[in-house]
Formats: sequence, C-alpha cells, structure tokens
Amino acid sequence: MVPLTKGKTNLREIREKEKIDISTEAAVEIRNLDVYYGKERAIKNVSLDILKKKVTSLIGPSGCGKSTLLRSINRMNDLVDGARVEGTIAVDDRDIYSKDVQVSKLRQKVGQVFQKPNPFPKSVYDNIAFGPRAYRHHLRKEKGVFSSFKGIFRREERSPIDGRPMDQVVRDSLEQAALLDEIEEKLHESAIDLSGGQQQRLCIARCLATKPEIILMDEPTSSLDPISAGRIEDLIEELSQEYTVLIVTHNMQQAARISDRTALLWLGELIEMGKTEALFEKPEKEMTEKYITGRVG
Amino acid sequence: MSPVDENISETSVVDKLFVSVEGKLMRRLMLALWLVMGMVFLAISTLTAIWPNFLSNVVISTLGAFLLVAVGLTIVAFKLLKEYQPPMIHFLLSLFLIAFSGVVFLFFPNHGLEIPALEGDVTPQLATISLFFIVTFATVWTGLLFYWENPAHNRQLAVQYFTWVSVAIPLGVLTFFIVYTIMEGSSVITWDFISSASDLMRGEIGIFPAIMGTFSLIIGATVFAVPLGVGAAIFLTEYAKRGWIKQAVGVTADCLWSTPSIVFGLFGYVFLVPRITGHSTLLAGQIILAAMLLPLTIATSTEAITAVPDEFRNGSLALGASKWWTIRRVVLPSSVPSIVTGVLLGVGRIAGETAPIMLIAVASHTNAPNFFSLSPPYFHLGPLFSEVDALPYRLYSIYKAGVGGSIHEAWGTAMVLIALVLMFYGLGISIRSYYRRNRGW
Amino acid sequence: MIEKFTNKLSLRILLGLFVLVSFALLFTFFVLFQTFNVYLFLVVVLGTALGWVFFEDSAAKTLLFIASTSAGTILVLIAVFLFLRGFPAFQRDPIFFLTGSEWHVYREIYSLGPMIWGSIIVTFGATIIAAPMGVSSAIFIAKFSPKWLRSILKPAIELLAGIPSVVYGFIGFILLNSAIMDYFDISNMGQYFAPSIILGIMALPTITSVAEDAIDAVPEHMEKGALALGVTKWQAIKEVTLPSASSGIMAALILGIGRALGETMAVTMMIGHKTAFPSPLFDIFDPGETLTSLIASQIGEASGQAVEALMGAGLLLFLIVFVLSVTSRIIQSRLQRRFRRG
Repeated sequence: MVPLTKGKTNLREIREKEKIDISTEAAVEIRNLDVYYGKERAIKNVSLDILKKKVTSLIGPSGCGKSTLLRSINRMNDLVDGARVEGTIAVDDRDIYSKDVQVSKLRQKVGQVFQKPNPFPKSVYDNIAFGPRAYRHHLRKEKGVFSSFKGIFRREERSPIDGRPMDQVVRDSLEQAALLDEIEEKLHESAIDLSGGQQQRLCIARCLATKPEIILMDEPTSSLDPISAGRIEDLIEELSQEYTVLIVTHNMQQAARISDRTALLWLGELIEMGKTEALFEKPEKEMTEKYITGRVG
Repeated sequence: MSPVDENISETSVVDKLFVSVEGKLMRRLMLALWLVMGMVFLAISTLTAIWPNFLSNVVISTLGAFLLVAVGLTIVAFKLLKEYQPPMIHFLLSLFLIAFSGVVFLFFPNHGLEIPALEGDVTPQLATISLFFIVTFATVWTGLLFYWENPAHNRQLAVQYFTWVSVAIPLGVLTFFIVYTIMEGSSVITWDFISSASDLMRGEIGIFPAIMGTFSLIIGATVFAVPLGVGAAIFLTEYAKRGWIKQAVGVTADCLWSTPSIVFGLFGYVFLVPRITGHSTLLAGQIILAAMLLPLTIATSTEAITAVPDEFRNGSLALGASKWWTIRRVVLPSSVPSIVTGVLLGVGRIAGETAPIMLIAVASHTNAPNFFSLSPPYFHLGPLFSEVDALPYRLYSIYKAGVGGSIHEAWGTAMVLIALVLMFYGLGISIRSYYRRNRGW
Repeated sequence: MIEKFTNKLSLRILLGLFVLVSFALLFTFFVLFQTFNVYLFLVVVLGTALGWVFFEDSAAKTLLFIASTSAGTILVLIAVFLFLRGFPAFQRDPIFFLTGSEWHVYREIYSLGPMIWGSIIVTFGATIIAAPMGVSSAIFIAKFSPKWLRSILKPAIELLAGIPSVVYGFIGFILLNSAIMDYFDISNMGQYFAPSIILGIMALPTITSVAEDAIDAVPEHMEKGALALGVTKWQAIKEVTLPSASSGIMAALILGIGRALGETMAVTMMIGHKTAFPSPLFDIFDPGETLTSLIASQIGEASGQAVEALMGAGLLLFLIVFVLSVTSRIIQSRLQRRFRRG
C-alpha cells in the first residue's frame, strides 16, 4: 500500500527524544491537542492513544468536544470555517497535520460514519463503489496519468485500491456490514429508499469498501430505533476484529457494552481514560464517578 | 381593584366606545353615499330616456355598470356577509367577474354586451376595459367597506379579498392573452404554415425559417451560457472562501440581469458586429442572448448547488474523494434537475427577446439556417456567420410593415411563439415539481 | 534547481500560466484589434486539454474561476463600449443633450429631454399599476394562499414574466390602443397611457417574486409571537412581517421600476413616436417617445451623430438601471444581514 505521507515528521523520533512512554500498538496518537473555533477553545490540551483493533469510545456531555476530537482525526475539521488545530495527531506515526499530507488519502485510510445516515442519491451499488472509484484519482497523482486509464476497456470494473473486481468489493463490503442478505435483490435500486438502519449499515459498508484502517463513528445509532441500533452495535463488535474503531456516544450503556476502552471528555478536557470495566466500576477521578452515576451532566 | 386594573378597564371601555362610534359613522356615511349615487344614476338614466344625447352613451354605460355592481356588492355585503362568512365568497365573486369579462369578450365579439336599459352598442373592447375597471373599483369598494366594518376579522377578510383580487387580475390577463392569441391564431396554424417558408410569389405564408432561427439562437445561447454560468456558480459556492467575491459576482449578475435588452443590442452592435464579419450574424445573436441568459443561469445554479445538503459533501470527502471529484460525482448530479429547470425558464425568457437581436442577428425572410447536409463534409459552420429569421422578429417586422394585410400571419406567429415559451416553462416547472417530490432529502 | 523545475507542482503552475497568458492575449487581441487569433485559440484549447488530463483538480478550479469572472467581464465591456461610443454626444453640450426639447434627425439637433420625460411618465404609470398589485399579490402568495394554490400561483406569475415583450406589444397594440382610442375618443393611435398599462403588467411579476421572497424570509416565529398575543393574522402581518420585510419590498419596487424603464419592444410597438414634449406636460394621451423606444425605432437607420446620440441614450439608460439595481442589492443584503444577526 502507498505510504500515507511523504512527510518527515516522525512522531516516534519525537517520542524517543522526549522520553514519553507509550504503548507501541497505538493506531492514533494524540499529543497536546488544542482545537479552536475562532476564539473559542473547544479542545484543551488533550493527549490520548487509540489502540489498534480495539473499540474505543468517547463519552461526555453534549458540547464537550467529542465530535470535534473525532473530526480532527480525519481532518474533517478543515471544512469548518474558522477551525484551527494545534498540537499533533499521528496516524501510523506520521503527523497528519504536517504540510505534505494528502488529506484525501488520509480520509480514505481513516473512514467516518456520520450521526445521520447519509447515503448518496445513487444506487446501493454506486454508493459502495464510490470510494474505490474516487481512489482512481490518486493513482493518477502517484503513478502517472496513464495508470488511471489502465483497464478502462476491461469489461469488468476493478477496484483501484486492491485490484479486486468491483462486484466482489461491493458484495464483500455489504456482507461485512451484515446487509447483503437483506438487500441482495435491491443492489441497483436507490439507496434513499432503504430504511434508516439499513442506510446506516450501508454507510458502514461504503466506508469498508475503501479499505480503511481506522473507522470513526459519530453517534452512529442516535438517529435509529432500538432494534436497528442493536444490530449496529453487534456489527461494531465484529468489526473490531479487523479494524480500529473510535466511537462517539452519549449513551453510557452503549459505551459499556461495546467498547474495550473509554475516554471521558469534559468541557474540552480529557478527564480520564482507561479500560471500560475499570472506568465504569472504579473510576480514578471523582468527576468520572459523578458523571457515571448521573450526578452531573 | 388595584389602580392599574382600573386604568386598563377604563381605556378599554373608551376604546370600545370610540370603535363603535367610528363604525357607525362610517356605515352611515357609506349609506348616504350610496343613496346619493343611486339617485344620480336614476336621474341620469331618466334624463337620457327623455333626451338621448344628454351624455354620451359611453359615459352612461360605464357609470351605470359601476353603480350596478357597487349596489349589488353593497347589498351582498350587508345582507350576507355581515356575520362571519368564509372568504371563499369573495374569491368566487371576483373570479366570476373576471370570468364574466372574459366570456363577454370572447363570445360576443360582434354584438358586444347589450344591456337593455342602456342604449348604444358596447364594443367588446369597451366591455372588457369597463369590466376591468369595475372589478378594480368593486375590489376597493368592498375592501374599504370591510375594513371599516370594525371587527378585526373583517379587516382580515378585506385584506384577503384585496390581495386575492390583485393576484387574480394579472393571472386573468395572462389567461386572456393566451386564450385570445390561440383563438385568433389557431385558424392560421396549419402544417404548411409551420413547416415551410413564405413564398411571396404564390402568396403562401410559412414561418419555418423563423422557427429554425429561434431554435438555433437559443441553442447557441445555451451552449455558451450554461458552462459559464454553472461554472461560476460552482466556484462561488464551493471554492470562493471570501465573502466579497460572492458579493461582487452577485452584484454583477444582478446588474447584468436588469440591464435593458436594448442596451444589450447596442452593445452587440458596437462590439460584436465589427468583430464578426461586420454584418448581422447568427453567432453574434447567440453570444448576446448568452450574455442575457448568463445571470439567470448563475442565480439559479447557485441556488441549486447551495440546496445540496452538506452531508453529501462530507460523506464523499470522508471516503477520501477529492474536492473536484465530490463536486462532479455528488454535488452536480444532485443539483442537475434544479439547474435544468432554471436554464429552461431562462431559455423561455430569451426565446422571445427581440430588441437585442434586432440589430445584430436577424433579417426577415431569410432561409432557415442549415448546418447539416447529406454530402461531405455533412456539417457546416457557414450559417453561424449569416443572418437568420426569428419568431419574435418576424412578429415585429409584420407590425412594422403595417398589420393590415398580414394580421393572421401575425397572430399565427404570436401563437407559435407563446406555445414555444409555454413549452419551455411547462417542461421546466414539471421537472422541478417532479424532483421536488421525488428527491431523497 | 533542475529538480525543482521538473517537480510536478512547478510544471502545473507553468502550464497554467502559459495557458492563462495565451488566453489573455487572445482576449486582448479580440477586444482591441478586432482579430480572432486562431493559433492562440488552438494553444489555449490544447493547453486546457493537457491541463485537464494531467492536473484535473487544479485545471477545474482555474476554469471555474474564469467562468465566475465572465459576468463581470461582460458588464465592464458593455460599460466601456457604450461609454466610448456614447460619450461624445454628452461632451458636445451635456445640458442641452439632457434637457433640451428637440430631436430632429434632419436638422441634426439631438437632445433627450422629451424622451427622458416620456420614460418618466410611462415608468410612473406602470409603477402605479404594478406596485400595489405586485406587493399585495406577494402578500397573498406568501401568507394567505394554501400550499397547493401557492404551487400553482408561483409558476403562473413566472410565466407572466415569460410571455415575450413583443407579444405583449402586439396584443396591446391591436386591442388596447384601439380600445383606448374608442373609449376616450382620441384621434391618435399611441399615447403614454396604453404602454403604461401593459408595462405595469410586465413589471408586476418582478415585484411579486422579489417581494414574496422578502416576506418569506421573515422568520416565522416573529409572526407566531404576535399571533400568540391574540391578534388576527392580518394584524400580525401588518405590524410584524411587513415592517421587517419593508426593505426587501423596497428593493422589489426598485427592481420593478428598473424593469419598466428598460422594457423596449412593448413600448416601441404601442407608443406614438413623437419626439417632443407633450402639451400640456402631463397629458398622458399625447403621442410620445421613451428612451428605449427611441433607440429601438431609430438605430436601424441612424448614422453619424445620430448614432452617437442614441448610444448616449443607451449609456444613460444603462447607468440609471445600474444604479437602481445596485441600490436594491444593497437594500437586500442589509435585510439579510439583519436577520442573520437577529
């Protein structure tokens, strides 16, 4: 796979130089992160690690900066007017805010599932093939113009990411998202007509089709009914065997059910982070206990 | 009772008294006015019966009609509508009046409206115009009546009635224009009229070159204007970060839109004609019409692209698509129906423009532009650099030459032109309503 | 150094600059020297194609930027060329040109006084008809009509703007002109009166749609707040909605006036073409001439100084309408800003 950046900032070197102790399995390392919207400081000096192939959940009252933190990991915050980021975030030991990062490549690698299911007004098939097709574009930049024309006369469309047939990619992604059985007949019908839960799983499948390493989920079940939400939760647990999942939720039961590690944010500050059982059963900080027992927030 | 409460109750009593006095006063004034006017009417009609030339018939018939309607409405207003009635009655009333004027106009074209009490013939034109005034007059009359009849909901009714009539009048005029043109024009419309050119030797008339000319003008204008307009809209909505760029383009598009069409014509005359062959050409006409279509395209496309929800953009960007890919594959496909609608409405508008092309593109009785041929090279650009005929210009040139002999040709041309415009509008509006109903967000 | 130049970024910028410069040259040649250089055109097309194949994103962005300047370019070109051709007419004797009372082609005396006065009369008449009807129909469409009716009325009003002005002029000429002649017993065919009526109908859709947007833009909660205090809907509209939308309605009226002022064909077909002041000055049943109809009826046969004078008339029209539309734009943007803040 093509490396994420050609950048020189290697966080591991910095870490060694500054003698910060860190587990080597981190998929995302966040150091001294500050995010500003205009003059307002939404994230205050947060440092945390997100471990590989684990489900990490971010909890906290609304407006505490959970979604901001999530969005700054795939640089979707760049799209917000007046947003400014200080500090470092490293994915695969590369600083994603260094100048030579290709943002779209980063986003292909760090997928995101949104709060409200947002399938494109296209067919189910085209929705899932969207990410791989958009990747063809990167090939042009990296391997020259002609690589992007390679195979346009082939009858069968192939995914530029891993060269598998597109039909295969679509079916695999749908199967991974536990959706194939339900909509196998409707592959070429509009995705808008699916039910809410199906749409959200379609969005997850769409994200999986780009072969991400990390999946960010921003309250993926909050606009769904309990049954659909339950299916998404099951799905997340399955996904964690292959992918690193970071999920924002304000539902503490959900965090307790599905996540391996949990972080509590409060007014933009990281209060506590640890194994989920530990955090919920014997929290270290008083604030955490108050929040979990519902006395604040 | 506290002093504050007293105060309130006092003012409200005074208020009530004042209100009712005002209401009574107005009612009495109105009654007096009606009585006087009715007497005047009676006197005038008696005098005319004795002495026919007392006043010209025209004045009497108008006055009489005004008074009849006024009295009738007064009675209706007092007897029926004093209690609360649904405003539908007003609407029906005004609709009836408008329909009545239309019917009189259309079905008594020779005899006019004959009111037995009034002597003299009322021409159809006169009948229409007087009925037009009657409707306006009656509107104001009942409006004022209801406004002064004090309860607030009456005022509400009056306003509703007034606003309804002011929608109904222009729409009545529109309907009348279309129906009248169709009635006058349909007798001329034959297949030959549409599909052949005029043959002055044999006295045959046909507007085929004008139809083809209009189509080539608007197709050319669309080809020039749509890429520029849609491109500008994309740049403004997706790329331009600073507000002043948007403001600047908005202001220029506004100014371009409200620039008079004759000014576009002058501009083409001094700028394009010397640069393209030196005489009137189809190409010059296309470019000038494109300049007129451009601001409309920018405005509608900007609106259409802004309406695409941000979730689509974010969804695409989060999958690793580049910005341009997102625009091309997500934003544009979602906004195409609205853009098409806007362009169709704009094309409907420029299809009938005469002033700009009059100086730079058209000449009457030219041949239809012929871009294609059966022998090589099959496709010619020659017609781009020669004059064409166009429907609106054909109508204008008939007017200029004197309508007398070719009035039927003129009506036929007008009807084809209106049909063309209606076609574009109908197409645009139905696309819009179809996609509004069926789009997924 | 070499590495730097072979870097793709530099190549991209070089190609872009090259194409832009050739395009600018092509455009300059076309505007200044009246020549269309085919080779430069080919260079531009080829360069654009290359850029599109190799650097699609940047090429797209550049092309879109150029597209977004097109409206401004056309506006500037119109202003400059009308100025170049029309200014000499002003230069000779600006006061006489604008206020004198004669326009004689044979004696080569050109002054726009009667036409300016005619435009004022006709536009005023049209505004008297269009303004109250336009605003009140906007109120009806925005506030009183049920949803289904609204979805019919809005396109119908749009259609009213779509009927070609030459058709309005023709119908007006055939029906209205002769009817008014009969009705008021006047001997001349065209007057200021008949075109005013038709122009009123033609300016109405502009006023209605802009005013309707303005009324619609007032946040509904403002009116609901008033309704909750127990007033009728009309009182709420009168006291809350209309004052808030007043500047938008003002903008609509200004735009409508601009439309009526600039309308050409209908006036040309219905007016009497007498290039002198009416006597008495307010006689709306006298034949006359407006700025637009003067240009439309005389530019075909004009030569020499007459062309300059007509261009001067066009320049004057353009400037007036320009000022009107900028004013209405400023009013509208102030309105928007207020609601964004509130």
